[in-house]
Amino acid sequence: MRSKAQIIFSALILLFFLVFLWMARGWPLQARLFPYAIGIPMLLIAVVRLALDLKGTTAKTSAPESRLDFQFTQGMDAALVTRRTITMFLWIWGGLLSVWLFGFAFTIPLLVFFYLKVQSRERWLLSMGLTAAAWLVLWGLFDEVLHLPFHRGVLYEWLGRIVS
Amino acid sequence: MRKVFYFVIALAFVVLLSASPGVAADAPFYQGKTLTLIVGYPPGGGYGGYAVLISRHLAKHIPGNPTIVVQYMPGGGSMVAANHLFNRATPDGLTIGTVAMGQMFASQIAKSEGVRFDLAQWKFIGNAAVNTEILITRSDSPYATLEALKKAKQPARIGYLAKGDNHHMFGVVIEEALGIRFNSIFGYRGGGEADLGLERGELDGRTVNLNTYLIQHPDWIQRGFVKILVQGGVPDENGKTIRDPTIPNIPLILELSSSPKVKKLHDFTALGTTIGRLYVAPPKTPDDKVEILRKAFLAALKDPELKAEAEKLKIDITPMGAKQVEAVLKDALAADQETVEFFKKIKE
Amino acid sequence: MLEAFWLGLTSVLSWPAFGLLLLGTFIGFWIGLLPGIGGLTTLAILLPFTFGMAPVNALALLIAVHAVNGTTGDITSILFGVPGEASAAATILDGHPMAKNGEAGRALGAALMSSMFGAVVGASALALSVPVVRPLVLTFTAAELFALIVLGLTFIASLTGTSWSKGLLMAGLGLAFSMVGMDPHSSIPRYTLGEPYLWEGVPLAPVAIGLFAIPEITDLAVRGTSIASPVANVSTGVLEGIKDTFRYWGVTLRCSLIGTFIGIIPGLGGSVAQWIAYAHAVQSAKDKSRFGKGDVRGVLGPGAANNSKDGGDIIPTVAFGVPGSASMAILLSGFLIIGLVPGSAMLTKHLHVTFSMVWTLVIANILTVSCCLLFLNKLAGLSRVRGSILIPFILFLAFIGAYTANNNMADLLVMAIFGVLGYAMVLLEWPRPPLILGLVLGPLAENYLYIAVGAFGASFLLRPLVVMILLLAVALLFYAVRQRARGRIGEDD
Repeated sequence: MRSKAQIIFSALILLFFLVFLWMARGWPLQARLFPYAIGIPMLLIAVVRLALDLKGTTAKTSAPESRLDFQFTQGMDAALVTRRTITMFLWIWGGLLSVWLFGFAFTIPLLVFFYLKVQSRERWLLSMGLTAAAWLVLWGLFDEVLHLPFHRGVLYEWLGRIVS
Repeated sequence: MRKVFYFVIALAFVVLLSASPGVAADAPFYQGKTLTLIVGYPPGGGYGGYAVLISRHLAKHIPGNPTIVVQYMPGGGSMVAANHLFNRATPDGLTIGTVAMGQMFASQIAKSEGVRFDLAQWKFIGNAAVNTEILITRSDSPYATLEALKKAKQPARIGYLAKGDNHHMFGVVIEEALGIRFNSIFGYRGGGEADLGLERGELDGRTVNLNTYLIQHPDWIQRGFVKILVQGGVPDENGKTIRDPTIPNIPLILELSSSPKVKKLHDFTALGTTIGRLYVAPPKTPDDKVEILRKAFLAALKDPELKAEAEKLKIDITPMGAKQVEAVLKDALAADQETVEFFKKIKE
Repeated sequence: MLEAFWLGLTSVLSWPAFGLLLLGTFIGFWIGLLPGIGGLTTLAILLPFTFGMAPVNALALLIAVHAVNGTTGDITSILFGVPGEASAAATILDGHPMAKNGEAGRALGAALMSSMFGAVVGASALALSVPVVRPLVLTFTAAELFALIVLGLTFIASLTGTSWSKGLLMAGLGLAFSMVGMDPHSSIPRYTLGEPYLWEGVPLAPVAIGLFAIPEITDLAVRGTSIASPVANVSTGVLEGIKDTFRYWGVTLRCSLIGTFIGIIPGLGGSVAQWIAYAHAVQSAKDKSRFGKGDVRGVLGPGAANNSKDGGDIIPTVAFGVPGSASMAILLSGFLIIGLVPGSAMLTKHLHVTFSMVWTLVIANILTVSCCLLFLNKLAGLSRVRGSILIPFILFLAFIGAYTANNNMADLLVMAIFGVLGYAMVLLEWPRPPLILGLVLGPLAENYLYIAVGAFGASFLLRPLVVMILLLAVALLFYAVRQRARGRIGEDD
């Protein structure tokens, strides 16, 4: 699984640089210069990378001490990890969709409440209390004091257009 | 059953929390309301500065004395804000904005991608300042006079921010009027950086806004670091271009050349500098609210308290009503095809 | 000059200036802490209030806010992996893993102490540089700046980790993303997909949050525990972190100097400092094995650089009216409101006002750090709360943090997309720091190259300072490559 994912990722990177170079093809020299200067060497390196992955070089896991970036928690049941990861991404993208449709002010309490209650199965009182606290901060600080312009949700606009 | 009950209660609770409080008003429309002024640039710049100044004095000239809030929506040279104000902002009279007329005009004429507004449909509120553009060069460079500029063997290095913006256009008209070419250097990310470029010897000259120059570089003026070579001028009450009274000895571009092409180019580019600080309301804003805002805007700009603060800040205020803005715009939109083509080519 | 020095101090300590300093410190503390409200927005909001204030008072308020929000921004980076300020993103790399190891207190102590250290260095630079600042800044033209950017890019070599090809590709990806936007040289929108929103480029804050915070949040959800894993029973406290600052005084000092320098030279931008400092901390360490997993030096570097940069930033703003960063742009308009004109007057007639800014920087930071130390250990306790309660709030912070950069909904989408990318990168072991470094340095490299060529022709490469800097870059590159060849870092390919 891991090496297949590596191959896909490397292939995507290669594709990215291809598109990157291709989109620049019609531009005047000055605008094209840097993209080409970056894109062409990167394309070559991407090909090398993909070749290495296809060869299976990354099949051997590098020693943990040598990585310079954080890595995910090891040693858990793979199916559980996958399930929880997908759930998390659903929450994030769902939140995004909700902000787009219903607006920021609506989404945040909704998100906090439902995560606490449904996902984490916390007690009612705790969920409602923490949600109220989050709402207080959102409204009190960001809206009243700072007057930040929060996205109001396209749904309102669509409804508004239908009504008017 | 209990669970469902709790669920409904909780849902109602959440919905209640997120519903915006409404305010009923049977007094003047603006009473108890918040008027939002959107600025198309990041805070700290010229547009922001004017917006903050105006927001401090606008409310008392609007019946109902609303709270005025300034919001910053930078991006695309105020295009993001312009698009938002045109399409997404609620046209109820509670949202207005300040955007760059020159940028909008140029983008619409050139049919740039991403333009989602139509200048003809805006409800203009007014203009707060007229910018005079000037060309400055370093006194110690070989370009310290117009004569020297015309005769120079090497083109002068003139610094600009972005190709196609107001300052660049002004430079282009000068090139046409004098029959020369500059070594145009783009990419400075702000007037301050370009000024530094001038001081460091990267540049021989710049095209700048006179008012900004006077505010930010009194020491340049004192020690004679730069010379002002030519100005774009300001419109008088009849719309004719005259020398800005602050610099009466500096020639106008129009005085440098009598070619009709130069005159046409000049008129075309003057829009962005003449309408220096534009304020607009979304197109569908009801006319009665627009009237209130227009009157309040002009009153605020003539308010002695605002004028005093503007004095202190050396911010130049030249009130211009919506009708005047529309007239100037009409002139510019009547430009002939040849001029438009010329400028589209410049932008490439 | 000495009288100005003392006059500056006494005016800051007088009333109401001191009261405003306290107020500014308080405000700056909270906005630095909370993602979403940045120093920028707050300064913009405070600006109207300064109308009519005397210069020293207004500056006490504004500078205090500015000085402190860089200090507390590291706190959420360490505890939750969400940057409280865009400038605190580099701290996540090692700060958050330290929290996960149960060393939250130590990380917090290190971040705060190094911040104070950096602030003092930055303020000293501000004070000492008064006679030399003008010639110094004027020496660095676009040509020298280009050379500096190239130098910065070579730092990527030390951040590539196991696989040079992956590291370079990620740097290339960052550079590619940095090309998005309206090109000022040709007025062509590049890679903007028809959206004026992208004309200013890919926004940095949502990218940082997506790339760094989202994978951390996901991992937290997967682990199902508190942030600090229950196994780690090492709860070394704040005191340890403070000691670390002095234990590793070399890193702290050098990164402070890096931050100050980057602040002084206008045009390098504020977000560059933390990453260069981080890269330097990695580069200069003999044992690099713990970076990315909780090496305290990875916290000290960015912590110091962020604050020293603030002191450095003020210099070009005051001396030239060229803001060193976006916050400085607001401060600049603040100057004009209170009647100060930047330029040589600030270094002569109004020198005491400049010094009052120096003192404000120092005092505000000392106050903040002292107060923080009192309850930092309690804050660290948050890392013991179970993740299932914390996650929705961390998400809330992430959403707000990404959104309020430009008040644009699209930023959330950017955050989510980079969240996916960041997740994939961590999963498949592609390093993230080179991407950010490329993203941050890319536009600067292109810009300065064109200006340098335009102004000086191709011979700009022969300018003495340019040559020196480029030689330094080559030397560093050589050194990094030699280190790899020696097997100091494990080799993948």
